[in-house]
This record gives sequence, structure tokens and C-alpha cells, in this order.
Amino acid sequence: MSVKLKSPSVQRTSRTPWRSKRFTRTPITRSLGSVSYTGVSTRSRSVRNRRSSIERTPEEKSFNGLVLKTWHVYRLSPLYKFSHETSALRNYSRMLSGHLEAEYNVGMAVITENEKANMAVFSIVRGLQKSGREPEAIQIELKQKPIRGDAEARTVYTAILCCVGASDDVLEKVKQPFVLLPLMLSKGPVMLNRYLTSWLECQFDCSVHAAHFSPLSLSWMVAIWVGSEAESTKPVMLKYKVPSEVEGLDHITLNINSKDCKVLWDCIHSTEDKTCHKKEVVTFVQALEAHFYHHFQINISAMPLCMIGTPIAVAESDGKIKIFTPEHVHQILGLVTEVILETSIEL
Amino acid sequence: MTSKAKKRKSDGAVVNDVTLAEAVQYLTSCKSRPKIQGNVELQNSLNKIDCVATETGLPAEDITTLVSVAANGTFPEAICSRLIRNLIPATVVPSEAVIRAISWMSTNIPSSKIQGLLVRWIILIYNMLDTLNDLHALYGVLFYFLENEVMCRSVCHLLYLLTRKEDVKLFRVRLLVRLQKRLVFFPQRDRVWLARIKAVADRQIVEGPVIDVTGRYTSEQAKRLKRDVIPSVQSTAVTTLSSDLPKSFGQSVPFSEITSFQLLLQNFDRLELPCQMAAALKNRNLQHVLLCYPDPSIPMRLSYWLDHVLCEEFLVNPSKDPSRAEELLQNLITFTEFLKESVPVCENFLVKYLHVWNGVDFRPSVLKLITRFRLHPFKVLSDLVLEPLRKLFLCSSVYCKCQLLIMFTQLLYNLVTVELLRYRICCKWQQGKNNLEISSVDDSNNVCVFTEEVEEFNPEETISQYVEYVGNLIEVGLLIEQDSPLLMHCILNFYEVLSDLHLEHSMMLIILPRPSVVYTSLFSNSATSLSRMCHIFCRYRENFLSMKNVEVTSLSACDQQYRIMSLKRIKQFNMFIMDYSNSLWRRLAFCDTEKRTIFQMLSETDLENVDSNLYRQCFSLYRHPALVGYFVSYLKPHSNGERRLILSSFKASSGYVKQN
Amino acid sequence: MDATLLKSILRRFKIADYPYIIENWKSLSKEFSDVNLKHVKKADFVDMVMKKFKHKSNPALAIAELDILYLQKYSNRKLWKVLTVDVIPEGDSNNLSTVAEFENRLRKEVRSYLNAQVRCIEHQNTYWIRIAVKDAKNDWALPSVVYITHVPNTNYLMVTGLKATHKDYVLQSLVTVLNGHRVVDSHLSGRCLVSLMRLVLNKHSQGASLSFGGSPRPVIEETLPENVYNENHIEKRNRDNFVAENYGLAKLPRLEKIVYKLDTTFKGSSHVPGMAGSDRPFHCQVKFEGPSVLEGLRSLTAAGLAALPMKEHLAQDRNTTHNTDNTDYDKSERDIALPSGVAPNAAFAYYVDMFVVIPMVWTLIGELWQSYKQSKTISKPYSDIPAIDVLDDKKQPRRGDKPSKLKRRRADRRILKNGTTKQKLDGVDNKQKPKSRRKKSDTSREDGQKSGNADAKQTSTSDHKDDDSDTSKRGEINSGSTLKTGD
Repeated sequence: MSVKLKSPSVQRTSRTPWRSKRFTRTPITRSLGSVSYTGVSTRSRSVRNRRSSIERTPEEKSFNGLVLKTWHVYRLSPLYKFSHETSALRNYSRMLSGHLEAEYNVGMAVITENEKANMAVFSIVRGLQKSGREPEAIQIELKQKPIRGDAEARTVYTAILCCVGASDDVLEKVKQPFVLLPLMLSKGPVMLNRYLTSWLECQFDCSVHAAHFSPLSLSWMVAIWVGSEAESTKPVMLKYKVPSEVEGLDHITLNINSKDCKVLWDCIHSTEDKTCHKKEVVTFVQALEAHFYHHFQINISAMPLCMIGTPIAVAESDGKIKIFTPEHVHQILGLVTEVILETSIEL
Repeated sequence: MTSKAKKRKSDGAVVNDVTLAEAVQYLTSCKSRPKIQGNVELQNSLNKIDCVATETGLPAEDITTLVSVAANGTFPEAICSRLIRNLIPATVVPSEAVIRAISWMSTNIPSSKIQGLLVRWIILIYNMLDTLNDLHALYGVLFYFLENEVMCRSVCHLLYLLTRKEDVKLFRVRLLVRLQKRLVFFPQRDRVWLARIKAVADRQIVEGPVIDVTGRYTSEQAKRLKRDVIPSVQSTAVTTLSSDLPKSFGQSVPFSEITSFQLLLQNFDRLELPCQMAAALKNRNLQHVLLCYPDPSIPMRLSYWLDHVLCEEFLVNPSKDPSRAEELLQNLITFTEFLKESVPVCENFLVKYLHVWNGVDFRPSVLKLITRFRLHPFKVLSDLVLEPLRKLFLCSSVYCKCQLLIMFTQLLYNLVTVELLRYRICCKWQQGKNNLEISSVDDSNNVCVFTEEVEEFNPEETISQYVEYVGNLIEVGLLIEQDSPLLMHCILNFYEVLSDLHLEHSMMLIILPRPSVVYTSLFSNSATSLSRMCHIFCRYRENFLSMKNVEVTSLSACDQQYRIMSLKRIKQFNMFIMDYSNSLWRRLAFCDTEKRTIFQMLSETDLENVDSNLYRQCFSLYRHPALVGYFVSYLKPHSNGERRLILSSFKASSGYVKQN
Repeated sequence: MDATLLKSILRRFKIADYPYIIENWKSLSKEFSDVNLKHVKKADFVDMVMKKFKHKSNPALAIAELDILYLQKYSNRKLWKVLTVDVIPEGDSNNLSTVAEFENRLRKEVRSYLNAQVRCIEHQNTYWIRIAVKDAKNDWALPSVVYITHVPNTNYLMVTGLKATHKDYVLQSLVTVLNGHRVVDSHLSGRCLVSLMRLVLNKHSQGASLSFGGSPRPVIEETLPENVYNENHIEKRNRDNFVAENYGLAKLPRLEKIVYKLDTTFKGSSHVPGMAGSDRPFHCQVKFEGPSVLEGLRSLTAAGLAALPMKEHLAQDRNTTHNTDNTDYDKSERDIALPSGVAPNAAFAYYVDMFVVIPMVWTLIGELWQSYKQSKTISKPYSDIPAIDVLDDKKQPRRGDKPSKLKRRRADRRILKNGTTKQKLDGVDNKQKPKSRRKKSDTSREDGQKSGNADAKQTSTSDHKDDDSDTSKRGEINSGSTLKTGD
């Protein structure tokens, strides 16, 4: 916990004299499409702007592997002594393969033949960073080499560890020998995921847990992602979970035409403004809930959001996301990284 | 043979006549190839061994004997295999038996099938061996059995169980890699056999440590491993897979082998720390290491891990089962108590958690963790920690209030004993670092394991504000709970700590108890609170006297100010003393003196019509409602049989008191 | 192939069902009388049946019967769709007095199109029909089976397992047999067959009248300890009464999904002033999901999640009540099962949801509607309402001169009830109204209120014949013009 000494330039309110953003529960503003976000507890819209435009790099084509798949999101604590060197990565591949073999031999889990993996490949994914200071993203693929024949190894499980757009002071705090890769996207059989996480925990002294998105984070996601330009006709979806006291009714889903939704969002948030304020997000969701209330007299705002969908991505509260367009990968993963970093105390 | 055996049993033939000892005796006595067909004694012995093994298991010596019998080739294969399958231990298996087995195997007298059976038996009873040292010593021998096709898998399995780091030699690795191409995995082949052994083990009433027969193969253990909040001490695989073992100047000792403090001291320079530092929360030796290891990344590893796990367990995804969270908190408490310092991550977590806490979950643990908070400026402490606690205090039952007060007392104690000193040293060290005075700077702060930057503020100010805050709570609490004696007890604890701030903890600070508390004690019905309050006054007096005599010039300016402020409180203290004395000793309660404070609400006119003798004595030592009972029991032995005690005959003079 | 089919059907049953099979399977019941069912294992039972089956002459029909038995027991494993047959009133409908005749006729019809087996069984006054269509190419493949339930003398068919390839043929044959005109999707589907039947057949006795029929819900009395006093028991009682009026006390039929499509203007402009003046319709779709959605909706008020007075359409499907003024509404609204002839204070028909959508356009507020209802009696009986082809956008709107008066009166009442709408009576709003209901094709009727707008509306209706056919029809509860946003 580093309590910084008083610096005169920082505004302090009487309620929370401590400048550290650690004690604010959620940020007040977020930047859209820029590197850092402001999580300061001030009420003003002061922003540390570092508006680097998102350059369309050729690596974006490689994002095709990311889109149109449902990823489970995990959050990781900083990794100890993780190296991005090629030799180190090869080493890790070898070790992980050995670990998998050992786990199979212990024979505790029930794994079907086509879910077994006997080869691990670590590689670097380029293009998933927003600024140059973040560590590069790593992709881990668990493949199954066929026993006979020279056929290609089939990928059974994929995981991507990345850090997209963490704010500067967080990046400064995490010094060598620690590497900050807080976001892990995983897709594949559950057992393989468990083996991988147990290996990561042992090898790099980190802690891996499934991410949960709170309803407020989901509201941020739906508001910000609605505002982005997208050509798709997918509706904007808000799915609420009905509390268990009401028997018989499980979910209430609102599907709104995306163009109408965008019009609504544009009324609330002006397009030139590069930062999004929490008030806007709250207003947006409240407006939709009011529209619903008008027709049904049901207080949907009393129910927690469990899933949101926009033309560019879908996110669920138990940590699943699906991205539809490669152009928005940065924005989406950036927001998810921010949300994940907020849940931790130290960073 | 088996069907014949069954027939015999159904005939009611002699099965139970033979005792186990006789059976074993018979079997050992058979020298050369004995007759099998129609050999009643043999059958009986075998059946007896069968029965005993299935029901209660065989005792240790018999197992050793029978291993030799089975392996020495006297009997044909079928009998030997039957014998081996009945080698179900009652309690433990002596390693002697295993050595015998392996030695017979090396003579190659028993057939491959029997050898294979023996190896499989060893695997199954692996966890029931009394010592493994012998087996480890025979590792090399076992390795050679890999050549045998029949036994290859079983031996591999056994070696897998046995292998330690030092057994891994390059030539062995090469051999295994060659073998690997042929083998795939170890099937669990002997399920029925295993089930029998397990059944016997279950039937035993094991007083000592439970023998887990099935070893590592249960899924429950797997689940437990997954569910363990705090990881156990393990080594990474990094070093073992490098080309050769590190031939450093000293071979590093993996931490899992350090089981006692002596071992730790012996190997302190060659330690290989475990892969997950979080194991320190459970392992005392590791905690010792943490205290003095120079590498700053070690506590950071622990911090990051703790950060993540605390968030997960409490804030993000609290599970319905509180045992994991409770275990984590308990371990964290022992850890912080051992270190006598709090983990900063834990403090931040508590701040976040207190804001969403319902006041009931894990209350003792949470409060205990708060007692270790570091010194912060009072505004911070108040906003972040004391505010939620205040809300909890005001709306909870008297027991919760008492718990909170105990926590406040402990926090005060920790702050003045440990944290104050730590803060001062940290400040100096930080200043030294900032000013780049190389001479006074060490690499690490010698005071904290978890170093962090401190803000400059006035610690005495914090403490005095904190005491005032608690005083407010106390006053309100007394009102709400209507002077509950339990609450009073906790309050007096607090003031006992407070009274000695100067003498015990050398602070230039004396803060008096609240008047409401003082007078509640004076008029209370409980003698303990009255006497304890008097004791507290005595302490205050000592403190004041010593503070008066302090050498003023040696104090800092700040301290001098505090001293002056404290000395100003003497006046109020004197008023308390006067009221107590007037009431208890001088029989001048409700008296009109200049110094009266509590009695000033009554004017003279109110008391005109009342006999002054009565009301002045009503709080005296012998009439005080709290003390009357004691006084009467004191008088009884001295009453000389008189039925009525005439109190006026007792003068509360100083001389009288001296006598008693 | 028959054997495998029989085996697979048999294996689906649970051991506890075997007595049921023996009792009801007519084809083989004689041979089964001697069977001892205690401690019989599944494999044994299957073998036994297979043995006895070998000697059967006509295996197909036996299999069909068994299949239907299975379905009768486990009908909730399939998703049933309700279709309405548009029966021609004249002509000798329903001269198929027995199941056998029905079956024969149906078989003739179906065989003329498809290579299929048809079997009908009557059970508890319902015809259970199984049509097993054999795939032309693969003789060895299992047939694709369509199951249909029909209550004789009604217009309704519950269908499950209908594949697109056979759909037309099967439906055509059914329509012919039932002497119908065409068959229409009722937009109603669910898993609980009994509930579906209840909803569809007992349209007029939904709602409050359910208190008298159906199985009543157990009333749970909350016993409070002695020193706890419920301060607002009056409100609680009122709330319970209101809910009972609207939903009735009995157990509600089970529906898994209710979907509403809304095309009204945006109503949340109190939060977003920028959207206040906009007439642009805000298209959204609301879906309620759960094991028994109607029960859930009923208990929302008790849970504090819904405010009273609740929207009628939730309790009964408001559109239906709008039927009271049948003439006012577009036929499209009637695809909802509407009740009529229901007393004003009683609740109304259930709007049972459709698998896809209930079209609605909202502009009315509940209270106004209720007060209106209290003054008006519901006029036309349901049977007068012809079935509508939901997919057909081109309806002929019915005009009447009543609507305008009604609307005006309603409008008046609305003003009295809800003072805020006073200002909404300006012509300004009305002119804007048509835009919001652009997509409805029936707006032309609705402009009774302001004749000036009639032209505008008519032109607007012609605009969207090119709508997606399934983007619902919106029933307009006219008078929306006064209602506009902001209420």
C-alpha cells in the first residue's frame, strides 16, 4: 500500500483525503479508446489524456482467431519471473507438456480421448497492446498430436494472457521481476483449463480466478460499446436475472434495436467527448429501465444485470465474452482489463 | 483347488480349527515341493489365512514370514499368488517384508508372474509401510527390474511413487525416455484387491494417524487439493528439468524438506524457496524466512497472491461455504500475530470489505485483523475504518459492543507499543533514503517486512483523536445499554490501557476518562467497576507525577506542547478525585464545596428538608449500594453477636483505615 | 428397423412406468397379463417385450401406440405449437364422429403426399395423432415423427416435431380432414400440453374466474410471532385482491416464454430530455423466461418488484381487452387469444404468449383502461372474430363510427384521471402520433379522433407494406394520440 506524500496539485475532498484510487469503488470516468483511464475520486472530469489513436495494424487480421468465439475470462495476479524470451517460452512449453503428461498419469480426471492434449505451445501474440509499455500478450495452445501419421497437431485448448490498456501508474507499480498480464481468455475443456491454471500458479506464483462482472461493470460495457460505430444489426440486449423469491420467472430480457439505442446514447453522450462519465452510463441504463417500467410497471432496476449484448460484443456476468468484429478488439479487451484491474486491491 | 476348498467349507469341514499361528507355522515348515492334491493341512492353512486376511488383516510379523514363503518357490505359482493376494495388513507393513520381497525377486527364483504380483502388492500397500527409507535405498535395484517386460509397468508405477529428486540421474532419465515410447499410463488394475485392503483398513479402529490406503488416487483428495485455500509447500519443476542438476557450490535444499527449525538453521544459506510464497501463511519455518530474507520480491509475491485471493473469497465471489474464508482469515491472523505487523494488502482489503460488510460474518476474525492496523493520519483511519465500525457499534447488541471495545483496546495497545515505534523508524529511514544519505541507509527497513511509504503526520495527534472518538462511542454505548456491567468491564479495560500511556509507553500524553464513565462507576451497583476506577485514578496519579518531573529540555517542541496540554488536565482530575473522596471517604456527598462537579445540579434549596446526615453518607464506604454487601460481610465476624450494627460508631478516620 | 425403433422407445421409459405400459398398450396387453413386474430390470423387460413382439403381425401400429403412450406420459419433453384451423363454418364439418374414421381419412390424405404411417388414438377426449414419415432416400433411417394433439370439435391442433420438409403436406392433410380453410400459427407454444390446452380452450375463463375453476393455489398464511405487527396489512390485502382480480387465485397454466414487441416512442425521456420530443419509435422486444412465467408475473407484486396497478396486458393480455371494441382494432391484434364476454371487473383473458411475438404498441396506461372498462361492457363474443393469418400484413381494417366516440370518451376520461395529459390534447401531438405508429397498417382506422390526421395516417400506413412480415403487428389502442410520451 503506498501512500503518496502530499502533492499540492492534487485535489482532495474532505471525505476522502487520500488520493489513492484504491478506495474508490468504481471509477467516475473512463476514457473511450485511449490508453489510460482516470480513476480519481474527484468529481470533476479531469482526465489524464493520452489519446493515442488506435492504429489499424496488420496484426489485426490475426484477431480473427479472437472473434466469434466465446471466451471465458480469468483474472491473474502479476506473474513472477515470467520471461518473454523465445528460449524461455520454449522451456515453458516443454514444462507444461510434461506437467500435462504427469496429470494424465495420475489419472484422476475423466477425460475423453479427443480432449486430451499432449503438447503445449507458447507464442507471443502481437498487436494486443495499446501502448508500448504493456507486456506483450502470450498465447498458450494445448494441442493433441495424433499418435500415428504426420497429421497436424490439433488444437484442443487455447488461452491468451494479455494486458490491454492498463493505466500508467499501475504499470509503474508492477516492476521486475513481476509481469502484469491480468487478463486471461480461455477456451476449451474444463480439465485442461484446470491443469493449466494449476501449473501457472505453481510456476509463476500467481493466483488465477474466474472473473465476475458486476452489474455496474456490465452497464459500463453496454454503454461504451453501444457508442462505438458498428454496422451490425444485432440488437442491444440487457438480460436481468429475476430474484429467486419470484418463482416461475427466471430472466427478463430487453432486446433493443441497435440504431435506436445509438440515438439514445448520442443524446446522453456527445460524440466528440472522449471520456465517458459514470453519470452517463447510469442515465442510459435508467432510461431504458424507465421505458420498460412505463409499459410493464415492473421495477427491473431492482434486478441484477446478468448478461449484456451489443452489436460488437456480448458479455455475461459469470465471465464470458464474445467479440464480433476484429476492429473493436482493443476497445473491448481494454475495458475488460480495466474492469478486472479494478477488482484488485494492490494495483 | 478353489472349488474343492469351497466344497470343504460347505461340508462344514475344518476351516476354523487351525489358528493363524499354526497355519503360518505349517507353511514355513514345508521345505521342498509338498503334495498339493488332497493336502488337508495345506488347504486349511490357506483358508485360514484367507479368512483372517479378509476380516482383520494379518499382523506384521506374519506378513514378513508369508512373503518369504510365497517368494521362495516352495509352492507352485497358484498357491503363491493366492498367498500374496492375501497379504492384507492389519495395521502396518514392516519394511522388512518389502526388503525380503525384493531380495527374493532379485534371486529370480519366483516366476515373473509372482514377481509382478509382489510389485503390485508393494504398490498397493505403499502407504502402509512403516518406513520408506529402506525402499528408497533399494531404488537402484528396483530400477533394474524395468527390463522385465511383464513387470515393467508395475515397476514404473512403484518408481513413480518412490522417486525423489536425488534419484533422478541422467542415465535413468535416458532409460525412461526410451521406455516412454512403449508405455502410456498406469492403469488402476487391481481394483478388487485394493477394495479388499481398503475394507480391512476401514474396519480397524485406528487411534493414530489415519492410514490413507488408497494413497493419491482418491478423487476426494483431488478435490481437497483443489479446494485448499492456502497452497502447500512445493517446489517448482524449473530446476529438475534443466539439463543436469545444478552443480552450484552448494546444493540447494528444497523447502519441502525443511521440517524443523534446526534444519532451517542448518540450511539457511542453501534454501530453495517454494514456488508459491503463499504457503508461508501456514508454514512457521517459512515465516521465519520471510522475516529475514533480503529479497524484497518475496513479500510482494505474498502480497499479490493475498490481494487476489482475498478479493475472490470475500468481495467478488463469496461462496456459501464460509469455511474456506474462515480458514484463510485464521491463517492470516496467526501470520500477522507472528510478524507483529499487518500486511498492507490486508489493510486495504479490510477497508474495502468493511464498507460492504454486514457486521456478522467472520466478526471475530475481522476485528482481530483490524487490531493490527498501522498508524495512519486520523482522518484516514476514521473515514475508512472507524466509520463503519461506529455504525456497527451503535446498532448492535451489547455483546457486539463489547467485542468492538475489546478490539479498540487492543488496537490502542498495538498502536502505542508497536506501531508508533515502527512509524518513527520508517519515517527516519524514508527521510534518509530521500536525502540519499548513504551512510544511514540500509537496503531494507529493519522494522517492517512489508515496507511501504509513510505519510508524515503527527502520531500523537492521531492517538489522541482516536481516544476521543472511542470515548464518544463509549458514552453513547453506556446510554444505550443502560450501564450494562459487561460493557463497563470492557470500558474499564480500555481506560486501564489509557491510563498508562505515559509511564509504560513513554508518550507525552495523558487523556482522562470521560466524566460520564467516571461517575457511572461512582454510582454503580457493581463494586468491581468502582474499585477498578479507583485503581485507574491511582495510575493516573502516578503518570501525572512522573510527567511533572520530566526533564523539559530533553523533549521536542511537539512533545513539550503535549506535556503542557496533559498537565492542564490535572484540574479535572482533581475534581474527579474530590468527588470520589467526598462521596466515599469524607461523607460529604452532595456537599456544597467549590470543587463539586457532579453534585452541582442540586441546589441547596432542594436539600433543605432532607436530613443532611442521611444524604451525605449515602455514598460512603459503608453505605454505598455497591459496597454495602461487602461491608456487612466484613462486619459479621466482628459484630460480637450484636444484632444491630450501629454504623455511627464507625468513624471512617484515616487511622481506622490504616488498621485494616 | 422396427425392432430397433421399438427398443429405443422402450428404453426411454423408466422402470416405474412399466405397469402403465402394460395397462395401456392395447396391442400387446393380452400377453402381458402374466408378467411379474417386481424387481424387473430394464434389459429384462425389453427382452421380454421383444420376444412377444416377434410374433406380431402388424408391428408398425403397435410401435405407434407405444410411442403415443410415451408421449402421453412425457409430453413435457417436447415443445408443442398451437395451430388454429380456420374452419369453414358451413359444410359438414366434423362428421368424423369416431377416431377410426378420422384416422382413415387422415391416412388417406397423408398417404397421397407422403410415405407415412398414421395412427390415431383417443385418450381422455383428445385425439393423439402420430405421423411417421419415412425418409425417401434412406430406408433404414428412423422415420421423422410428427405428433399432433387435437381436441375434437375445436379448431386447435397442438403439433410437435414438424419438419419444414413435411410441413405443408401434413398441415394440408389435416386441414382437409377437418374441413378447414387454412391453418394459422397461433403464436403459442410451450412444453406443458395441459397448460396450452387450458389456455386455448378455456379462453373465457381465465383470470378472476379461475378462482372458481382449476386447482386453487395453496394460500400461504404468514404467521408472525406475537410481538410483530404488520403495519401495512391493509395495503397488502388490497394488493392481494388486485392481483386476485387480475390473475385469479388458481394455479396458472405453465408457459415458458412470453415475448412482447414494443414499437412505441421512447418513454424514458424524464431521464434523457434529449429524447423527449422525438417521435421516432423505439423498437424493442421484451422476453420473460422461466419455468412458469405467468406464475412469476403474478408473484412479482408480492415480491415488491412490480407496482400496482399492473399493466393489463401482463395479466391478460391487454390487447385482448381491447377487443372489446373489436371494431377499433386491427385484425392483427386478434391473433392473441382474446377473451370477451367477460365481466368488466373480472380480469381478462390470458394472453398467452406466442412463441414469437405478441404484437403491441403501447400508448395506453393501465388505469385509464380499467376505468374505461368499468364503464363499458365487453360486447362481442369471441366466436365472431375470424382467425387471422398472422403473417399476412394486408388486413382489411374494419371501420366503424363508434371508435371515434369511444376514443374521445376515453380521452376525456384519461384527462380526468391523469391531469398531466391535459396538455397532450393539442393537435401537435396528434400530428406527431402517426409517425410513431408508422408501421402499423391499421392506423387508418385509428384516426377517428382527429379527422385531419386521417390522411396523414393513411399515407403513412402505405409506407410500410414492406415491413418484415414478422415484425409484429401492433395493436393500437388508439387514443394513443393523447397519451404520447411522458405519461
